[in-house]
Amino acid sequence: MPGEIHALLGQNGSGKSTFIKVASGYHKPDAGSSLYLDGESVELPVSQNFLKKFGLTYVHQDLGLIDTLTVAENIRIGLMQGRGLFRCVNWRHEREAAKETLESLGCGLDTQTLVEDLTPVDRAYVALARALQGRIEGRGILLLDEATRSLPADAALVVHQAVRDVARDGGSVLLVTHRLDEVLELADRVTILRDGRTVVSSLPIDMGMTSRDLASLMLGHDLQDMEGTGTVRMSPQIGSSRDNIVIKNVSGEHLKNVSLSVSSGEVVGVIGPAGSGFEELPYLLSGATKARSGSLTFDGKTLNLEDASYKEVLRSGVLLVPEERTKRGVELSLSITENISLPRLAQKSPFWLSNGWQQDDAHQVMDALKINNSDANVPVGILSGGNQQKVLVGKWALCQPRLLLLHEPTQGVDVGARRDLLRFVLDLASETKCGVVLVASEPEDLVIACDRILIARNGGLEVELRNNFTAETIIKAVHSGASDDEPATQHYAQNA
Amino acid sequence: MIGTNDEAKMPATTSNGVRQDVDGPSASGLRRHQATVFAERYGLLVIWALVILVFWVIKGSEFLQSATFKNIFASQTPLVFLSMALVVTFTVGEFDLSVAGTLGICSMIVAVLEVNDGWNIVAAIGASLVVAVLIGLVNALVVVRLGVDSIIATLGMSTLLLGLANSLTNGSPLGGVTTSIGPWTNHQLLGLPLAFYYGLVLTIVITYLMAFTPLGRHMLFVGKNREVARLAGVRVHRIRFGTYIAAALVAGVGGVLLVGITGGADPSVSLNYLLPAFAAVFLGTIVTMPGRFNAPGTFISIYFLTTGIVGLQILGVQPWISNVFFGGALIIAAVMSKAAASLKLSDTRPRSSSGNTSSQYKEVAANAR
Repeated sequence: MPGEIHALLGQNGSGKSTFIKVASGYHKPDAGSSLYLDGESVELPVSQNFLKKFGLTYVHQDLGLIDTLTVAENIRIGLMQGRGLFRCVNWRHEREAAKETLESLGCGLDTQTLVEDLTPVDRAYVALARALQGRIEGRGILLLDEATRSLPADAALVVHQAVRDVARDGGSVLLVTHRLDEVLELADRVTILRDGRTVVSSLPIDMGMTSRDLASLMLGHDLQDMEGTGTVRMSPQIGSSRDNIVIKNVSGEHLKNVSLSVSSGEVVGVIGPAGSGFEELPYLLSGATKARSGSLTFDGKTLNLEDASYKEVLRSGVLLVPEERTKRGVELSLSITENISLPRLAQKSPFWLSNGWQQDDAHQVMDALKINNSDANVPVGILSGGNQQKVLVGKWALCQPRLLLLHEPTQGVDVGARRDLLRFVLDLASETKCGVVLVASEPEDLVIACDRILIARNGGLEVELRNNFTAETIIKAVHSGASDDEPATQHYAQNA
Repeated sequence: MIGTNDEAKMPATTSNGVRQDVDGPSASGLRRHQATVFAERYGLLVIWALVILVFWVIKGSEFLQSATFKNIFASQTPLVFLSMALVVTFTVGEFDLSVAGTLGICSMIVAVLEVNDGWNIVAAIGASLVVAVLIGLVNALVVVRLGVDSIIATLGMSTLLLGLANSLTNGSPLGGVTTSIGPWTNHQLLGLPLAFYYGLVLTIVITYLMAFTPLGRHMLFVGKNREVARLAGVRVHRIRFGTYIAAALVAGVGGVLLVGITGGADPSVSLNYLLPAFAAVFLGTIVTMPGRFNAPGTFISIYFLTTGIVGLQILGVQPWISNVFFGGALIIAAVMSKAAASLKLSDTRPRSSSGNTSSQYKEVAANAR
């Protein structure tokens, strides 16, 4: 509707991004779908020309800027016009056009700067300016696909203001976001997706609505089920404090002086709002990314993360399961056996690589994780995403972990594989008495697997949830910070 | 020896294949699968045998003379060394175009120091191998330390070395190297020159290193995915660094052997060696271990290609045939290894879900009845 700000909500994998991609012409939709804009039926798949004609513009998740080009080039890309005899680009014209749009946003940025030199706030301005260029005054749609996801609060405010301006001028805005507070503040109406279906259609947002209401709508019936699974780990067998792994004053790009301690056999979940930098923790702790400061102490040894190499940390039993399995986790063209045996090669004789233990390892992992493929010698690439992820997690299991660091271990896997993976991590923790730090943006994962949950905020792990947490309380704590109605479940983790 | 290596590995993999195909009742499907595996791994050997047969039929006894075979086996050792240097660099995901240049300048250094400067031959060989290591070190520093693209860096190094090799004698070939090193390469053993066995030993050593040691597996992962290797605790930089030095050293030894075989050195020899080595290495990826750069496959490819060229020359075709042959082989090999890789994926895909497989086999069995 013209002049309306409409929010699209849903869990990961509920189909928000697919919807955006269809609407922006990136994906071809399945047969039988139809899309109406301004009362007219739109021919599918959506063409780029059409987008221009109707003034449908969007700001992508990662802003979609090209770092090595200037501000003006980024804003005018796709709109540059050749002029004169040789169809040259008139740079002065382009710069002025870019400058004008930026100034309309209240930003006096030099259009000649390279985008890579900009602060996050300025980058948000540039992305918005580009989207606003293609807009037709008073009509058209501005699509924001989690545009504030990686932005600090002040930059998010810029986006919010621009969104309000567009709506005031009569344009429509579709807001896709995870930030529930953002929805409550900005949106007029909300549509919620779950598993590819619309659960709530165009519900008007009124004053009395809380983020809690939205969270339960997003989760739906799953809420009850997940609580049930959560009680499985009510009484974990946590080792004595002597066996604690003490993490002190770890600082990186976003995190500042984070301290926590993980007991043997304990699974600690870490989550936070987008942009809080909680994803950094496993990489800093494993040494894969150099920490600015920090230390790890366990078994009477102290590792200084500022100067310990990744390999040193690895040798002491701190193992990392990274995100992006196809890029950094497993090699798809090599076999299951080869991928699983890789971390253990160094422990074996350097002069002879026998096949026996490799096959044993592979089958052990495949049995434990229910990788249902009887041949361990096929390339990992032919397995399903869930099985690939199992190979990634499983390859570390035989390396006697002391502290296992997992980042989004259930990324892009189906429900069954997710359960297998989390169950495996739990069993591993209680059997080998290793500590586990599970960093995930899926609250359900944390509910299933974790003994306690730490929530990152302002560069630190500020909120701790200890008992009876549910996906709902987690989402709420993440999106609203320390809430006041359940103080009993919250502790400050600094002195843990 | 190479044969035994492969056979040792072969039954293990096929028997695995058998074990998992058993749930499907069809024997014909099974046989077909084994046939594909065999064709995939040993097809080139069959083609090689056919090539020999064809030449034998056409030219009869002339082709089968021992002189012809000696010609085929004796002259290719420097190419074997060069190709093995490429096998290791390709495996770790690096390009080293300068190996041929290294071979060229090392052979020239031996000849010039010995003939023109009167050095003892052992000292001359030692000096040339030191130069080889230095070349590898410079490559490694530029590519691994400074992060320059390996194709660009080694292309530059290759041309630089060609120029320097020419500068040593103003471009003219140099003969008359002491006959004392001749026997080390040309002495006959079981009817073949010693040099041939050096190539064979090197092939076995590289095969062992790549397929049967943790280091070889680490190298494979470094080549396929550096980040996966690094996060598994593999010292990626060290392996890449070491590979450049090892490749240069192997190429340098190849240059020394070339002096032994020919009794002299030619500064522009590197031009004739680079492409054949590439052709052999790529052709090798479709033999014995399909889809991987491997030593035994490369070794077989070298002698396959040489057989073809020698045979055609006996038939009276002019020497230009070798360029046509190697160039064509490189393109065909690259196309085939690409096709084999995609075939492999689509071939194994249905097997990932057992339900599919058994129903497929049932279908096949029903058709057979």
